[in-house]
Amino acid sequence: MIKVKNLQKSFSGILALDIQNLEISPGECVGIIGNNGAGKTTLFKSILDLLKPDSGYVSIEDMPVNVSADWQNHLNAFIDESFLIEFLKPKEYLEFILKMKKSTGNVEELLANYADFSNQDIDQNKKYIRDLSTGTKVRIGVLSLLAGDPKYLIMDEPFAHLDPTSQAKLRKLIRSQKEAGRCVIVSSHNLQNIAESCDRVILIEAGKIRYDVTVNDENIQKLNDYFLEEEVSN
Amino acid sequence: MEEYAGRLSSFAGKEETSYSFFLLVYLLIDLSLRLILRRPLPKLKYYVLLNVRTSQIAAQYLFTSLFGIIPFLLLLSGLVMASKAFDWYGALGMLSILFWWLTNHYLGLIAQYSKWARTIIGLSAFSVLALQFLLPQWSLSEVAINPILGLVMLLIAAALAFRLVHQSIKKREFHQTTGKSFLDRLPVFSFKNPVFQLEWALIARNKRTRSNLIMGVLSVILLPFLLEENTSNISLFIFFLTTGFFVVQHGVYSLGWEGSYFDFLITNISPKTFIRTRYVFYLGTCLIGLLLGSIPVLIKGLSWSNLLVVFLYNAGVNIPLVLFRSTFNDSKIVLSENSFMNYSGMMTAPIFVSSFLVVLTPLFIYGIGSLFLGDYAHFLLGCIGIIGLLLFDPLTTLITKKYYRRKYHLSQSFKA
Repeated sequence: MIKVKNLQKSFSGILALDIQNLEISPGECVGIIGNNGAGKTTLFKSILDLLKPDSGYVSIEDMPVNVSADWQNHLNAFIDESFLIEFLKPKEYLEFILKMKKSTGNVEELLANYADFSNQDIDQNKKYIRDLSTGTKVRIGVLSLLAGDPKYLIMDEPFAHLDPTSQAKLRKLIRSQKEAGRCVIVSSHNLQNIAESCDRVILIEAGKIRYDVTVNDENIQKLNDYFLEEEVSN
Repeated sequence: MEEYAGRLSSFAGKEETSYSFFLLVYLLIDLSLRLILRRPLPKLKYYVLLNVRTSQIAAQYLFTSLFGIIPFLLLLSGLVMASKAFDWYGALGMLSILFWWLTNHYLGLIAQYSKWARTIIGLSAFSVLALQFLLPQWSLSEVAINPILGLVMLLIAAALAFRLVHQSIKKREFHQTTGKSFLDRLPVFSFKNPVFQLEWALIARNKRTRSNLIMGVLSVILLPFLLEENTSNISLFIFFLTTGFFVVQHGVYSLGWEGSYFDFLITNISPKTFIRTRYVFYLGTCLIGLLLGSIPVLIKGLSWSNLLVVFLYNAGVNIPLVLFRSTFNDSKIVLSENSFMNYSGMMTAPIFVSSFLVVLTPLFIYGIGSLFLGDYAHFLLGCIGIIGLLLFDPLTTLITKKYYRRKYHLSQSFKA
């Protein structure tokens, strides 16, 4: 389980994250939505121990993330391009991660399992990652999450740079991960993508959790109304 | 001609044949490097879209393709070698080298356009060398000091290269422009340890790190030949660079190299594994430096002990020192760009810091030591190095802790 307790983080005196209590269980599929600057990426970075919180803590499988790096065996994350190694070819990058995770699987197997999402162009691509389009980079990043046998997958706005077909494939992939018993935490600006792929949705605004609800028509309507009200008030 | 040969015979007190042979070997190495380390072809198709004559584009390309740091370094070393001959014959030799260097450049360019041309040029070069050995009476090596022949060959090679480039532009045939060099094609995943593989890929596949590697190898091979005698101070300094060149050139920017994927690194590779692997990797480069440095030591009869103590000091003290200091490198280096005029990441590891820490400190220790130990002062450096190697575990633990504590700052800084 991922636990976040009394987590606060400020930048230049402005409170960017203030989460009193958040628990995400294995097997859950959680969508995090919010406007720009809401604190989604700050939350992810705090979970990954890339940011030092002002107070509070994050633990994964009861291991505080800032004390030991053992949680890394349970979690794979793709936040942005800094999670890709630009001078490797796509298959080499995936192979590298498999080796780091000490996985018994191989790249061919991984790509075959997710052939629909990898679209064959990743398998045959001889270019370095830095020479690829942003959409392809995102797909490589998402595939890298599936290397090894992680319990938790974290993706920060993976839908943003994908074409509509790849977005649909990603939604399908997220659902398949949930069915496989993995916990997926994904952020997006698009409520529809979250509604179609997750079973729990958390709305963050100004660093605080405003809504933490299960996905159903009524709650999605409520969240839509929230954003409409925000737009009117702006 | 007799007079010409007679003048040249005074080159470094050796026979004329050895002078021309020396230059011939240099020219063949230059040509081989051009065939192996092929330079990327420019993206000519963008120019074709402009309202410019194709012949002008081809001529422009033939001119601009000449510029490059490594080819110029090679030219410089050739000119220095050629200048060893006396009087204006030396100048004639230099002129010859210049013509042949340009010929090599255009032959290298031709080779990029056709496998056949590459094979023919390669075989011809090999044949010249073989004939020189098999039939020395033919004096084939004299072509290297013949500027007229050099000029004729240059004109032929340049005309052929022009024709090839021009035709390819007219036919809109554009060759691979991504610049896959020899090092790009080397198997990156031949190491068992994935972090080693990543390290090798980082060095081989990025222009700046690759330049460091090539400069390092050249320095390791050439620097000790500068030593004329066993003067301790100078030889210690040279051997510091021989065995520690890569640690100085590459190591002081450690973590800056990883700036673009630091978040991945810190969330996927345990800090302990990373630091220890890097230590061992640098130790390997020092060992290679030791082996390569042994060649001139053997040839010139220099002091083994100087080379060995300096290796030990680099391995036991300089590597951990450089790794510890690298945790303060909070500015990422842009990997994909050339090292020329690319100052990204430079400010965090200013050269005087690395020089003071890595090179001048041991010389200072040696200076102090020589007051008390006299001729045996260099053993002091070796002893300190051995102590450093024995403290491998606590030192790497200390560096790992520092690296882990600094990760928040580094992650934030690399994003800036």
